[in-house]
Amino acid sequence: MNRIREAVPEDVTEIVELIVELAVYEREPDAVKLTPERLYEQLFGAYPAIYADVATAPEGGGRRIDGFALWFLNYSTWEGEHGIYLEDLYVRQEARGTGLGKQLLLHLAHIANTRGYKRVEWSVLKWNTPSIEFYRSLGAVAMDDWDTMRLAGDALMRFGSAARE
Amino acid sequence: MILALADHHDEADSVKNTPERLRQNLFSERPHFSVHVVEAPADSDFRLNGFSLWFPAYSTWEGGRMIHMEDLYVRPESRGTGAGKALLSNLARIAVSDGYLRIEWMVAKTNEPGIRFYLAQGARAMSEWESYQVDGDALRALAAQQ
Repeated sequence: MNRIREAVPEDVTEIVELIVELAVYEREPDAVKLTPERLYEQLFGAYPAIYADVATAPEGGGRRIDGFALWFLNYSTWEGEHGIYLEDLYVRQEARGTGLGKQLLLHLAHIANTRGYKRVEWSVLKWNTPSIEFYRSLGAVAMDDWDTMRLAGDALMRFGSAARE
Repeated sequence: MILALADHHDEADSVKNTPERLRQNLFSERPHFSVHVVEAPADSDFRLNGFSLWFPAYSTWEGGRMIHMEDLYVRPESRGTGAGKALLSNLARIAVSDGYLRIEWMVAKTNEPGIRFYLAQGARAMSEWESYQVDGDALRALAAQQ
């Protein structure tokens, strides 16, 4: 049975709980500044730029959802096409091994294929071997010729506030 | 310049984009990305000496938007004139004034001058993360399973 559907406003609280669980799993428990109020506005406000799909939980378990995928559109200048950037994919500990992660990823592949997007892309921590094996089994390849660079915090502030020449 | 940049990565054949397609994407009703350019001097053969192309990305941890810089390119003839730094600092200015939390981009590990330049501007490599992608036949195969 397909348990994947688009997120609805009632899912937001549980999605944020799962985002925190994922951050704990990724050993960054204090990294999450997101609140349910903010995510609600970002997903269902006037100008949504992100999308969420959820895996529904079995009825009677006291939970609405067992997993989610949160994504947005990126753009490849080489392809001249948009693609899907998968920011988060998470399945609750208790619901692992039931194929929900795969269903969520297949759902995104289906969206991409239907709309003519050329790729689905995401980042994974290098020590996260179980996830890497799972992604590889689905045909994903590591972009190991590339490094992601980040300009943030004080360095961004300094750079961005400097007078324009 | 997109072609020149791909050629710099030995990937000139990877560019499927065309001026028509870019025009359509960039000036559509709801464009998803932006381009900033460095104008060439009036006596130049070119209109432009460089460009940056970026789109808003999103971080669940921060709960907010960031800038993903897809391309940053300066013509070889114009390197060393501060054009690259001007393009990057323009994005930093947009980030600070419009509330984007950070700027992220990818760089080829072989691009040592590029990496040195970025590190000198205060950027750092997210070397604990690896990017993965699924495209082409693998993507179609996954889509067909759904």
